[in-house]
Amino acid sequence: MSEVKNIHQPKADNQTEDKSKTEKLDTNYWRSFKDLFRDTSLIEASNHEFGDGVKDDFEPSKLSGISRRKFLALVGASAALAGAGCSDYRSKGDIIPYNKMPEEITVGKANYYASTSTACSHGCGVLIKTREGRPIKVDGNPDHPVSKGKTCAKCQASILSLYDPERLKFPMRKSRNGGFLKSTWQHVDDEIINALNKIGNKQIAFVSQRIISPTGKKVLDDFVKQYPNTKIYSYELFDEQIRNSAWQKCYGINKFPLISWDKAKVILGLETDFLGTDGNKVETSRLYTQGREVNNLKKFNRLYVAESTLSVTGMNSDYRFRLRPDAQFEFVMCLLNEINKNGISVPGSLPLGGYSLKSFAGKYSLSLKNLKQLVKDLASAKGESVIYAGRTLPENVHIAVNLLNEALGNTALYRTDSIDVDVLPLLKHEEIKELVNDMNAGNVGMIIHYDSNPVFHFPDDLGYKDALKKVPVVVSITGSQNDSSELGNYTLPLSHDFESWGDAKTRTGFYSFQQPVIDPIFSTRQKEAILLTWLKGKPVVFDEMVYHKYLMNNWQNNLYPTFNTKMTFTEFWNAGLHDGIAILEEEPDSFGSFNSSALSELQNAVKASSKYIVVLRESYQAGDGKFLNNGWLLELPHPVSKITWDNYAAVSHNTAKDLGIKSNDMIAIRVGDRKLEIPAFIQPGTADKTITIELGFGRKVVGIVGTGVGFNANVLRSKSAGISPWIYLANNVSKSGSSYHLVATMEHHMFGEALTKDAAQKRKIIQEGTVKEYQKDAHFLNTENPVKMESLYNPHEYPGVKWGMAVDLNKCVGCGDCVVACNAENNIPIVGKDQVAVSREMQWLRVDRYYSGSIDDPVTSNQIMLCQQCDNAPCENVCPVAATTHSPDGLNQMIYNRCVGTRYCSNNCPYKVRRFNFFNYRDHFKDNYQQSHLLSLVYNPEVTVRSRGVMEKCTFCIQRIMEARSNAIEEHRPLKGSDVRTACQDACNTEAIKFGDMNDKDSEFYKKYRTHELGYYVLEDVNTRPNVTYIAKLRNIESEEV
Amino acid sequence: MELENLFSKKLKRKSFFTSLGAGLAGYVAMRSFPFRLLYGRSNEDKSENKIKVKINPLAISRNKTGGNNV
Repeated sequence: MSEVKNIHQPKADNQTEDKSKTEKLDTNYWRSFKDLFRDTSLIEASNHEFGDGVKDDFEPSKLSGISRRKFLALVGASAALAGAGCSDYRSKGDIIPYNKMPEEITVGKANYYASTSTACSHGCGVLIKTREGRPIKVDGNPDHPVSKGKTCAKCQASILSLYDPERLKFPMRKSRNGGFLKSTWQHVDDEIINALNKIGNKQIAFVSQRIISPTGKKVLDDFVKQYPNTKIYSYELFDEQIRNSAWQKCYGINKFPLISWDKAKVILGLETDFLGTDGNKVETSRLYTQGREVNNLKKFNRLYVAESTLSVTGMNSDYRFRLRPDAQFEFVMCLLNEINKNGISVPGSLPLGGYSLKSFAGKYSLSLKNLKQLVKDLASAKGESVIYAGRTLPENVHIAVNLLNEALGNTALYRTDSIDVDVLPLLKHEEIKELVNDMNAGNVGMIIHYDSNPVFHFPDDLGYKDALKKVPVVVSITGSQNDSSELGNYTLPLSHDFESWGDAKTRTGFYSFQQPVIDPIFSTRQKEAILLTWLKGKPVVFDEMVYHKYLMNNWQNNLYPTFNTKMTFTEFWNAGLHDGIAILEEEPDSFGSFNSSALSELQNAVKASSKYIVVLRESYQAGDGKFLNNGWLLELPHPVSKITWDNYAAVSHNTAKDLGIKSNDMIAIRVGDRKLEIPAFIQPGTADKTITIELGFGRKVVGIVGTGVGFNANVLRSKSAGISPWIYLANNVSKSGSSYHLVATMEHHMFGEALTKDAAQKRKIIQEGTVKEYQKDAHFLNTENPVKMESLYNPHEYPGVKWGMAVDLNKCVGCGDCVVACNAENNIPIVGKDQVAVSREMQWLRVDRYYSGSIDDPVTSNQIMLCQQCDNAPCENVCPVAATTHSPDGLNQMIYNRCVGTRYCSNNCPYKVRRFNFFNYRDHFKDNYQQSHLLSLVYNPEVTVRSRGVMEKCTFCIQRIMEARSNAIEEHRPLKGSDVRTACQDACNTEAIKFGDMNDKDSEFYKKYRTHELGYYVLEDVNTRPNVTYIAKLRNIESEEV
Repeated sequence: MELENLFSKKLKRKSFFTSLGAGLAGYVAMRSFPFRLLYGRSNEDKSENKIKVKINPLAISRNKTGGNNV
């Protein structure tokens, strides 16, 4: 068998002066520095069952002796106490059937409601699964034209916020001593309406995040009509304003077009994480991976990324360049110069001669060979390539990128069928300053925080927080108490998305609908209903249907007529609610021709500095801070660093050396007169003198889950933008002396790498190759003849359906959305940072991330790892109570009631995918947070909630299999593999996960994935006969070398 | 002989009632002891115990695999 070799051995490069001594290091797969440098502590730790800090020593000889009499006395006393305790049994109530059965409910059957998620401003279409009236799971709506049945991790996790025990349950008003008192809607409505009527000529300011609802916007318009002094300020922590502004200067319309990522042969991403947090990743990652189809190599794209710190997009690149963000402009100008030299004319008359790619490569220690390959690819893929700049880069870079795309004819990949729509344009960054000036001047009579948290989001030096003190009435409409509501007079509880009516318009060509799948659980209202009540102008009795009627009226009178449909309005409305969308024929605005006058902006470009540069990014886990109380997201390992429950300052190992720090050391960063102390983390692949921090952490006012989680890097932002509102040059960075404990899962559940050097390679856990190699020899992996071991047992026959999974590693981007979906589907508990620290995270599915190559320029491989449902499962043989057994359809099952918690199975599992409940995490985590009655409503009733002392693991969503089987029996037909979709498969944006019947030789699953020549099984040589097939990743690099 | 010793050690009436009284007092004390104070503090609101799940009758449900209408 040919040995699998590393395809990315870093080469000595003549143009690279110093590739550092890491060049000499071993370049095989590694997960962390401890792994790479064969740290003895890691090898020592692998000899112990438990992680550091877990006291598991048990020495019977050290136990104190006990007499027989004492023993019997203790038993007697225990029995007496138990008897007395149990005599206090209180009835939990009777279980009685429905007196009047709701029409929609069939007990035991799920209902699905199409709706729109407002977890972020992309407004993805969702299908909300409800059981006996309570929402339990969110999946994508397959009819939605953009999200096409997929969702991101935040959308999946948004259901946890519905059942957050710390949700606001009633209105509150501030007392004289500064605390909040419970109030009633009648009372607060009366007081606020009175205040509105007395507002005089003072301004009423709404501070909102992006508004995507056309009818919600109409409510605001009505409010402005009644109170003409009203101004709406809408903002986002991260927005597309710089990209749009550059586009307007170049093409005349203020909206960057959508891109046909699926048609691009060459993609260059500049400081952008379009597969992670930059833009609509649900759509972008789907389209991007359509160009990574191993069965269609002609369309196989090539991804180049130039970025400061490794991102999800960088992890998936074929070629990656480490580059500080302030060098991006020079990089694009060098590319323009090079393509110009290749005979491609560049519009305008820019002096490009001063930009040399060769000297640029030398200056930033980049591989000139790879840069030349990039130029060659861009020139040869004219009209079929995309250069895409990140939204945080300054405007001149975007204009230069627009010019480069124009010169290469790449405008052909800008979509003309649809474009993003702004129902209400976002505030310009400068306009916030005007609001604060008005507040300070006493011109603002009332501020309404309209489901927003500007005190946390706005830069501190803007002075918004202090200016709030000069506003007489501050009202916060919010789902839970936050940094802004804490400073207001009134806090009004907001209904969750799933309790609210609404509509959304995010693109041309369709509208989407939002419908409440459950009546408000508490005394909450949706924000539009609150405003409509106030608009009555006098204290009124609240009409629960007020916004529903308003929404229907607006649709009937204004929007429905634009559809020109033959359906009556009632039919149209019901069909729209059923489908979640209404398709409309609409022409998007077209963009004009390139305006060369925009190039004048390029004259004032700032040159790259040699100072430390701070890059602020959006968090994968906490978003803009909205999800900082969501345990599913906080416990999701960061896709790159694998750190949970924290943010950190990512630095390169050279920077760490310069600063004299190591991971976990606190560093002080000073930008202007602003300062932040935050733990450092040495992230391979980071540009030197660059410090990258994710925002969204460190909220001061947040629930019990998010309290003390992370550091607020917003304090480094300034009202006067640096290089951009998210990129700043630091005055000083220094070691602060103290240290912190960052918790990462990167060394958890390793495949014995600690003991066996290069296990991932030698044991063929990760197998990959290049496109060229595959073209030359489709069977280059040579997986057909693994070491055959004689089995000691007769093989089992699986005559019916036999379940299997396939994971296409060419499509898996390593985002971790599947992990959150699995949590939601299978009632997996949150364990908390302290338990993750000792390797006790409970997630059934993990994404193993391996680096290979050098520390400076690592190549990344992702592999999702879950129970392989082995035919010869080693866990089954060692269970003393037969709690884990095999099913006739090939599943390795767990019988929780039998499990006595010996953990032999986990010890014997070569894949390390079994999880043990060391505690009852429902009462162990954060003061019984998960024990709450409210949070219990999120549980899937088809999945047992496990308690302390029980082993668990992936079941291939057995409950879904059973439901499909039941449906098949009901319909008198055989069960098919395609009847079942697992939760991780449903959530995967890129369709990297396939599931089906391995015995159905005619199925797509069998023909296309199970028997694929790139398919392999992890640790096949130990004869476990796993049922998860991995399709080996192909790197689209020029070299054929392996 | 042993039997005689046993009868000579028989419980006196007064001690019997003292023991019985102490036992009863102990039982009553155990029943009324506020064990609840020893349990972990629950952060849930009493209002949570009254949670009622009610379907919105105006929402339109669908079969997941069903086709769309528009």
